[in-house]
Amino acid sequence: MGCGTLDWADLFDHALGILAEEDDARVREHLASCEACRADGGALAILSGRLKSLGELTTLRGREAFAERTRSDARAAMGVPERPTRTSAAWRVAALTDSQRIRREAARRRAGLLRRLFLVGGSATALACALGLAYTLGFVDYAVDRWGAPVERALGVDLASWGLRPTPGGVAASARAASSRAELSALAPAIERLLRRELAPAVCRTEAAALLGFALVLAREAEPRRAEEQSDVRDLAELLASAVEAAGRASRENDPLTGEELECIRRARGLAEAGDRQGALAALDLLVTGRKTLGLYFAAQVAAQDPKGAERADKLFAAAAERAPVVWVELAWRRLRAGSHPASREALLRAPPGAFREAAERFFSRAGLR
Amino acid sequence: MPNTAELSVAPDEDLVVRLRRGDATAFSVILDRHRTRAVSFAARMTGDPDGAEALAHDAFVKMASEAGRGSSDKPFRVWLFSILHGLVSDFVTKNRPESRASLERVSSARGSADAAGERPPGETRELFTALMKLSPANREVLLLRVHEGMSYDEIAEVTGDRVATIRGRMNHAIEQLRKEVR
Repeated sequence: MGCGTLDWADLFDHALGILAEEDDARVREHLASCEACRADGGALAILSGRLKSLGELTTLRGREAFAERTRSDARAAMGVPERPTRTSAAWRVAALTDSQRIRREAARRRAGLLRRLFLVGGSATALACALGLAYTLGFVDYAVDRWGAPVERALGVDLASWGLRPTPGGVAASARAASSRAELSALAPAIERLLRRELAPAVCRTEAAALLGFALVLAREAEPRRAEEQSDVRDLAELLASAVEAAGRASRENDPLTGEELECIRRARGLAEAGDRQGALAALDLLVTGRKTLGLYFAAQVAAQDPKGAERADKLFAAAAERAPVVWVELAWRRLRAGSHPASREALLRAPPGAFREAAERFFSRAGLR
Repeated sequence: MPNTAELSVAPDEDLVVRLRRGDATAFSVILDRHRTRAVSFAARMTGDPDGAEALAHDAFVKMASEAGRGSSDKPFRVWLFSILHGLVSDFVTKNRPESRASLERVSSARGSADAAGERPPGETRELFTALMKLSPANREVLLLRVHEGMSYDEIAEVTGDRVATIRGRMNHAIEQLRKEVR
C-alpha cells in the first residue's frame, strides 16, 4: 500500500482515531509528506466510516426472553437454587450433543480415510514385498517356466521379450561370449529354466529336452576342476551353444508324454538333485519300462551319476538315442570321458548331421578323437 | 449491600468481584450492560441472529459458572470475549459456510427495523457481504478492533494468538475489504 512505510492497520487505526498518540503523530507526519499514502488513507477513512455505520445497523440487543433465560440459567450455574430453563437447557444439551457428534463424525471420517489409505498402501506394499520375495526365491521364474507357455499362446504374448524368461538364442550368445569356465557354468540356471519350460505339458519336445539336458551337464561340468582337460573354453562353449541352439530349433516330438509322465520326470530330477538316485530311478521306472525316450534319457543321466552305473547308463543312453538321435552326441561325449575313443567315435557318427554335430566333432577332435 | 441502582454505575471489575462472591444482582447488571455487544458480535461473526442469542446466552452462563469457581483473572471484557470467541469458533466450524449469513437476517432481527419493513441500503449490504467473505479469524480481529475498540494486545489475549499474528490478520482484513468494496 502507499509507499510501503505504513501498513494497512496503522492507516486504518488512524482513520478510526484509535491510534496511540505517539503512533498517530508518526502516521500524520508521514501522511503530510506522502502523496501515495494520503490517497490510500483517504480511501480507508471512508471504509472505516462505513464499517462504523455497519456496526450501528447490525447492533442487536437481544430479546427480553433471552435476557430472562440467561439470568435464570446463570443463577443456576452460580449455585442459586433455580431450575434451568427448559429451552436453554435443551438447546445446550442439543448443542453439546451436536458438537460431539460432529467431532466424532470427523474423527470417524479421518479414521476411515486413514484405514483406507493404510489398506491400499499396505496391500500395495505387501504385494510388492510378496512379488519381490517370490522373485528372489525363484517362484516367479518357476511359474513363468512351468505355466507361462500356455498363457503366452493363449494371450499371444512373448514373455521372453519382456525379459521374464531366457531364450535359446540368448543363452547360446552368452555361451559364445563366455571367456572362462566360470562364466559357462554360470549359464546353468538359464539352461535349467529352458529345460523346465520344455518339461511342461503340451510344450515338451523330446529332442529339445535331451539337448538341454546335455547342455546343462556341460555347463555344470564346465567348472575348472571337473572340465575336460583337453578342450579349451571356446570349444566347450561352442558345443554348449550348439546344443542350446539345436534345442531351440527342435521340432515337436513324436513321442508325446502325458502330464503324469512329465510329472514323473520332474520328480525324478528333483530326487536326483537331492542325491537320491535310487528314488529318482524308481520314479522313472514306469517310463523306462514303457520305453519312453525322455524316461530312458533321464534314467541314463541319473545312472551316470553312479560310479558303478556306467554300463547301465550307456545302455539307457543308447536306447534313448535310438529314438532321439541327438542323444548320440552326449553318449559319444560320455564315452570319450570314460576313455573309450572307438565307441565314442562310433556314437558320434550316428548323430544326425548339422551344426550341432559339427561343433561336437570340433570339440572331440581337439580332445583327441579323430 | 448496594442496591441495583448503585450497582448499575459500578465499574465492570467491581461487578466481577461481586459476581465471584455469588452476587446474582451483579450478574444481572453485567448482562444488561454487555448483552448488546455480545449478541451483536456473535451475530456479525455468524450472520445468524438466533444462533447469536444462543451463543451470548451460553457465554454469560459460562462466565457465571467460571466466576463461581474463580477460574479466570482476565480483565472483564477480555474474559467475556474469550468465552464468546470459543463458542463462536465452534459454531462457525459447525455451520460452514458463513456465506449463508445475510445482512437481511441480522437486520430483520432488530425489532424496529423489522416492524418498519426497513431493508439495508445497497452500499451497506455490499459492505456486509464483503465482511462475511473475510475468513472468520480475520473478521473477528476487525470486529473486535472497530466495533469493540480493543487494543491488539487485548485481541491477542481473547484469541490466544500473538500480537504480530493479530496485526497480520488486521492487515489482511483491511486489504481484502478494500478490494471488495469500491
